[in-house]
Amino acid sequence: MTVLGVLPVLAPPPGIDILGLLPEVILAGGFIVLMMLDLVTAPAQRGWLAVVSVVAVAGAFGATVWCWFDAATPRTVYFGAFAYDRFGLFINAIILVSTALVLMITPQYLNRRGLHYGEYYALILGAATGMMLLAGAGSLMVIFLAIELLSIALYILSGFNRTEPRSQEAAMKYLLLGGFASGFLLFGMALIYGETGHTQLTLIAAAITNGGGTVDPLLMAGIALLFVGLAFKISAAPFHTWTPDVYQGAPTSVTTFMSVTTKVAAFAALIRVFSYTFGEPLIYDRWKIIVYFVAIASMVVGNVAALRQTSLKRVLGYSGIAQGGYILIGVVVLTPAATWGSLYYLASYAVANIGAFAVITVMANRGEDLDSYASLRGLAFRRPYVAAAMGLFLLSLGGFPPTAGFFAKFFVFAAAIGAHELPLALWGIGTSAVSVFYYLRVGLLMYTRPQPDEPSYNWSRTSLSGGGVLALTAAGTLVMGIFVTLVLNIAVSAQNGIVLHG
Amino acid sequence: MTGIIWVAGGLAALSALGVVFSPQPLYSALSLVLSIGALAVIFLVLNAQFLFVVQLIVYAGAVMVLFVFIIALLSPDREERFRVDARFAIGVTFAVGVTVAMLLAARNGITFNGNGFRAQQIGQASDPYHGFAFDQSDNGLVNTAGNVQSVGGQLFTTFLLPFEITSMLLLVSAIGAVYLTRRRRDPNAPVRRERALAREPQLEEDRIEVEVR
Amino acid sequence: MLSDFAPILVFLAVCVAFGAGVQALASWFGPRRPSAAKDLPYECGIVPVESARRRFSVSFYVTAMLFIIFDVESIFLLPWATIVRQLKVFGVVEMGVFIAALLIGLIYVWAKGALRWD
Repeated sequence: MTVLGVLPVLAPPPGIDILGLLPEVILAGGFIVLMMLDLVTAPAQRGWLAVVSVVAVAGAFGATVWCWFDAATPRTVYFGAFAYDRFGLFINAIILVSTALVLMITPQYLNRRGLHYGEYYALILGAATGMMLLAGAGSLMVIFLAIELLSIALYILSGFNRTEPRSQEAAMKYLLLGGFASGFLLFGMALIYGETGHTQLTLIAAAITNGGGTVDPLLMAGIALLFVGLAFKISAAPFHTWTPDVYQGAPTSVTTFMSVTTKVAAFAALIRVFSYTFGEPLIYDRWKIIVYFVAIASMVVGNVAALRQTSLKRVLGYSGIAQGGYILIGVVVLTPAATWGSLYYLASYAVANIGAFAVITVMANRGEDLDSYASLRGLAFRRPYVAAAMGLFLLSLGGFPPTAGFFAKFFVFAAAIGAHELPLALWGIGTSAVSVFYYLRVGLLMYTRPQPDEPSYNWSRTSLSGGGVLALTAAGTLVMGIFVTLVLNIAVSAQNGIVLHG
Repeated sequence: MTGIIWVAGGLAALSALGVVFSPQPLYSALSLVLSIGALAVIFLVLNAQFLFVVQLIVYAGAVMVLFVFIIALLSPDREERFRVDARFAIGVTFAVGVTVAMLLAARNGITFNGNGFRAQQIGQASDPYHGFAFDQSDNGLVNTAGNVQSVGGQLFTTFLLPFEITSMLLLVSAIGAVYLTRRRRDPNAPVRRERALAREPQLEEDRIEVEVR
Repeated sequence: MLSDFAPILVFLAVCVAFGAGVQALASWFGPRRPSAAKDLPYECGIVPVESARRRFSVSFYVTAMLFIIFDVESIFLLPWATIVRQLKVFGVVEMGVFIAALLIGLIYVWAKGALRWD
């Protein structure tokens, strides 16, 4: 009786709805558990930390699936600070699957590099929590703190190899430029808050609508600065300069993780903020010009620069910049088709890119990373299945028909044409044609017989978990390319479910 | 009241210039303390007591200690002397231009009179004290007594989620601070056989050493 | 209200005046005989053997960084303390979660040996 009498007092006041944050809370709990476990786990037993973290990710994924059915009517929780909707949950699912795949290839790689510290797992989960918070962020403050959470974890992870100067260089560059970008982001948010009086996105949208047809220059400056901050995180040109260096210098398992998940989460925030909060025609007409330019610049810079690279990680880095440009088309175009096209694109990019980087990670030996073009030569004759999977990922990134990438590009370009933005689609198609050169070059290298006297790279043996990750990503790439409607229906439903009003 | 703001603002601007133009990093740091202090005075005059406290405790206190330690950690006697050249001119033009543009743009957005300082729309935030019975009479005006309470009220309603995320952010930073500066004899170093074969086996040589000349 | 801070302003003024006054008095009445030995940095009476400008251990920096982390925590306690009565149990639970997270951080830092100075 007395116990039950206390309960109403303990119940949180209205507006606080912990259920809406269930996946994030589970992952944050996993983060804390891993921090504590790291203190008591013997160095030789650290493989178990990977198991624990995968369990935490699986738990969060289960919660996400449950929330998907629960969030049929979207709403905001925590006083409008967080959006509990299918849009965020769709992004959560991509992030969680990617995280789980990365965690599966991690222990082996870290062991080969002599880097198997327990902090790694806690930091990965911390970063993933930040990304999920970013995906559902309904308030400028949450966007900022989520970006900081994932960024700080990634700065540390980029510099995880403390004896390797390149890794340190990557961390330093990422930290300095990232700090700069955060400054832009925060300044932009301050201006937007000053102009609209709100930090919650739904209320900002309402304030802009009620603004009465005038656009204050400070609001536009704020929106532009906010875009710069987010464009840095999706590494869109001209804010991309850190990307190739960081991707190359960071431990490959970290690159695998950040190249996909950061981009997915930041795009979620970008779509939520720009397409759905600043969608007011008067405002849209102005920021559209900036995003339009950045999208084209990313496609051109990423694809052209990738042609000149001799490092596999850098090629994938530049290819990621270009892919960001294609997804930005889906942000510029405001139609629902563009949004679900972007969501489909993000999912297909995640599978293919994780797969491609996983090949580098899994094949890496104890010396050099599998990074130079020379180290790829003849892979198909020694590791035929791995080479075939890699070929599939490259085909998907290049946008060839039987793979996920084809339909991703198709949906986004079709949405652009449908919204009478033909130039954007033409830029996209043109630069995709350029990208074929470098994707094919990498693909052909694997199928080139090495010279008899040439020392070939000593590829590692594929472990069970590594092979499993490659098989899963390859299967995902094919399934999304053949049974398109499977993921498409979910993406459309995610677009439909986005929170618009409180 | 306005007089104090002008004096403190001028002091803040002057010491900010001192941060940029001081020949020694340590003098820059001290100028920054002065600048932060002057800003704190402005916050106090505007009745933003919480910001005043944060400014002094976190910025002038903790962050400045960090700055001074990093100056001491880096080699302090190789400062780059300040030079006037084309790059400097471009930088100055840009900085002045942005400042003037911001002031012009802000002129209409912010009102300032004898009673205090009021950003036009602040406080119109709908329902800021949702769910709690706070005094809402000062809603809309920053400059009334009890600013710390209003901050607290906002912190535990509208900004509750950001507040909780902060704790996690601090945890991640703690991990980073500990991991990246790990000691020479690390009891937690990896022990798998791969370690001996790793590219650079001298894992223990990576502490930043005290260098005595 | 701002006038509540008037005693502090008076206190500040007295401090500055006293400090400046003592300095001025000393320079008026005191003899002035500069020598090289007087310009040396004071190291407990020992003659300094090398430049004071040298690298400090990174340990100082780590300690300062950890200090900031817990400093930021303590600053949040201030607004919380002013309204904890209105917040009732909810406020205590919420701040408890926050402090528990930071406590875990402290345990972690401690157990990792980052507070050891060697």
